[in-house]
Amino acid sequence: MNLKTLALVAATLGATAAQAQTVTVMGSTALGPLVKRAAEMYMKAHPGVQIAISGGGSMTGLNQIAAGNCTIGISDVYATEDQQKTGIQNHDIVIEPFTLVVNPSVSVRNLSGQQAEALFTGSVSNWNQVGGDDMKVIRINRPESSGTRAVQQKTVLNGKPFSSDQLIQDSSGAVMTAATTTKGAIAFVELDFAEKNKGKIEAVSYNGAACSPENVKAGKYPLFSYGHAYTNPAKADAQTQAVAEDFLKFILSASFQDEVVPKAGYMPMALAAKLKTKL
Amino acid sequence: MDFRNTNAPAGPLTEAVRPVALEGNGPVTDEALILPAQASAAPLKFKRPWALLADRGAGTVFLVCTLVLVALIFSLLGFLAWRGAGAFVAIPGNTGRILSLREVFLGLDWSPSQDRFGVLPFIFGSFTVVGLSIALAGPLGILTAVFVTRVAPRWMRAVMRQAMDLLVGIPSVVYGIFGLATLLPLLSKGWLDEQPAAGFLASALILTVMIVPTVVSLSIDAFEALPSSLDEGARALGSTTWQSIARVLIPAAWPRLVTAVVLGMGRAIGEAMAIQMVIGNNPQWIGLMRTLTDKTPVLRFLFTPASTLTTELVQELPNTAAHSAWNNVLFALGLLLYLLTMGSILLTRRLSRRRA
Amino acid sequence: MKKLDLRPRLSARIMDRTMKAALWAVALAFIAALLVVMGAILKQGWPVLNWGFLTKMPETLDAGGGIRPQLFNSLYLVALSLAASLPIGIGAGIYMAEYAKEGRWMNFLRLCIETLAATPSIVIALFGLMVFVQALDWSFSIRSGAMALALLNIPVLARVTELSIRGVAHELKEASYGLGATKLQTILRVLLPAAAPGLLTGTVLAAGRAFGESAVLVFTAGTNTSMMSPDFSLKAPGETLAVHLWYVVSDGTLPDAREIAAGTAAVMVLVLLVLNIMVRLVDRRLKRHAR
Repeated sequence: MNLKTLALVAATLGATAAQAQTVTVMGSTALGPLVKRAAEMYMKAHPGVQIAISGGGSMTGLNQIAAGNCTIGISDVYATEDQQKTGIQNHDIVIEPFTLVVNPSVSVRNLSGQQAEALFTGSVSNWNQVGGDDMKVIRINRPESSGTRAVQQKTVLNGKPFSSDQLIQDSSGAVMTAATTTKGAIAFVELDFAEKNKGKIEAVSYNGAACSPENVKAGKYPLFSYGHAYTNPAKADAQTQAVAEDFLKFILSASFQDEVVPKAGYMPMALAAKLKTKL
Repeated sequence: MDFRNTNAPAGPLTEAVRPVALEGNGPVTDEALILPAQASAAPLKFKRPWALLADRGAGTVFLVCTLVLVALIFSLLGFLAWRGAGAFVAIPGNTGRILSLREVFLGLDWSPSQDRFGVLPFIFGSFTVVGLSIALAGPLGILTAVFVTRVAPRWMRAVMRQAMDLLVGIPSVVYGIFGLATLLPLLSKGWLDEQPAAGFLASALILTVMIVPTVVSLSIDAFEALPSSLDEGARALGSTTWQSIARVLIPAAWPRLVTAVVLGMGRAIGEAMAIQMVIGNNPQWIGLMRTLTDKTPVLRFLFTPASTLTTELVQELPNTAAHSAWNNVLFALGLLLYLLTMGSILLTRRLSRRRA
Repeated sequence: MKKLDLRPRLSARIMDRTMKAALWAVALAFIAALLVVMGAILKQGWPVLNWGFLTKMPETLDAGGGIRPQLFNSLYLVALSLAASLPIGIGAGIYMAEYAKEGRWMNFLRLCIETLAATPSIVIALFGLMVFVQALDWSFSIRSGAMALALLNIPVLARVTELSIRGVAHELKEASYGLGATKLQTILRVLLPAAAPGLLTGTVLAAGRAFGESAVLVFTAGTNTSMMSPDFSLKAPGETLAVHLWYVVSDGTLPDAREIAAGTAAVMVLVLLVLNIMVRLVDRRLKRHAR
């Protein structure tokens, strides 16, 4: 019985060891749902194509695509110079707005750029220093290698280091759960989270501007980045690369951008014509 | 071939049935026993060649299985060692600077973005969390197994067994979410006046709940495998239930009980998904503990956001650039984790030998 | 003549009563803990738990999704990984219990095996990513996930098998040899059946681990599913219930994220309950035969 089962398993697995034509996507968990939805729609329209998606975070996506280990690497931030030297190609697929959020116990609803920076670098540790009640500031952040945190560091902290008095959660979902249940909490998440959790969490305006597509478009709200999809034509085989390019074209098609992208909480790239961001 | 199994736990019954060598035949061998059968039952002769062949073949098959396992172990170790070594030795493909063993393994400061790679906080964190949970889960698990096999009424045994098997199967994610959404607010409201409760205590509690079913399941097997004569003998001598449990059954089952705890500890050491939601994930927890003077030392220890080897690995390893100093150090951490596990297993074995 | 009091000492009787009470308390605390966790899961998942939930395809951005492909993938992966790990694990366990020469090497090997069983799943996950997904070019698929899960379980199975076989009473083995059986016959017809309860526990532990594992599968089987369900193809991406649970919670942007998460957890618990009952029935039959 042992031998037979072993042989059966070996045969099943070994027989299908031919070159896989699957498009492998790795990277940002923020962009994950959007790309997942696109993959579903694309696979339905093109039966026979397999698109396999895994997470890992923006940095994983960039590392893996630079090494040629996947077909598409999705990220919330641009690749580094070293990574770009490997010949990866960028496709900007959406605009990702981010927002500061606080636990409802905190009465502050607007923060200036300076105040936000001070809150996260540790110069301010009590809410009464920025116009709130006497309550300790509990910072809830993503890990050092998260794309969302990289955006946060560049836009809110202006490159300065984070305070060491912080709670770290692996995913934005866990950050939200912690923030909704902890008095005095402040966090930095995608806009979609704030909208889907109204009542449990309060969004905070930045320099007087609330996080909204209109404000982003008008340039009044600077906390956003582009969603990037990188491919590595040099390291992928021609067929898979062609499918990947077609898939990205689908994501950038008008119908997808106008109907599906806002549902995921993002903004279509078409609005980016006048925007400036280094992310 | 000497078929006496000299490695099973020796006991009074085993001694009694050790085979006595047949007079004049020297050591008892397979052949010595086969011959009488052949002589008395002619039909057996026809089965013989096939059975012998299958016997030889089977030995090889089982050996191959073991070799696969060995290959698995060594390829995994090799993988860890090769990538981890890149942190300390110049290997082609490295992109970061070479680190010294001292700064990594004796360093207290972990800030990779500022080029500091001290991993002691993670080591202390792992020891603390695993130690706390074993201290809780070991006795709890063994005592529960005792309850199920000796004290509980028949009908309850099945219920408890079911409950344990169910708990084993609950995925770590569920425990993590339960911890994050229910346990932390509970601890926070109850003990800490609404301050966040993430830290060692929450992790230890979640881990205990996770590993106790494993310990209980295997301990129940250990107790049930004991010959009933042990318990009967003790009772015949007039002992109470508890006396027979504490003085006869537990010592008799001790080796297997220790293995049960070790396997449970294995799960505790390797667990990351569940703990990472309730531990706070702060690599700078040592420094942080010193600064939080508004709490007593005990509360500070139990409730400061901390970090362990596994949670750090799970959060950062996939995200770091391959062959960078950061990435290499994390692989070295993986190897360290493996070695620490090995060390604690050895220690537990030494302790178990003394008792038995 | 004075009546002899043959009962145990008073102190021993008090200790006995106290410990029995303590043990009852511990056991009841467990059942209570289990009920609390189950209760929380079922309460939150109740709105979603209906036949539709089990048979609908999932929604990524909208409310109202189901878990059909994930449910199938979970069961499929457990079956595949057990098929791969049971033969090797049990075979290795038999070898170590019955064939191997004792000595420092064997003890070192046992140590390595127990340590491997304790390896954090993230290491196996990355190993699986590098070997199956990338080096073998299997991408995120059912086959990568199944092999990675097998790697996770082989050490545990080997160790439990070895212990169970060693735990079998010597008289049985010696009687078998005494009747003229070969080693293989003894193993297959006497030792394994006698060790069956232990093997069953090991299998249940392995299956439970495979069913509930998420870290390993995120990096080997992926976080999305095939559009067809049930899809038996080994090349299809294979998100399971555990991964889906993790994903929905981590992502948190589904409008009904809480309900889907709780519903998924509830389904997982129910599946486990059913499987456990089946296993207990098998166990009872085995024990009956053994007697």
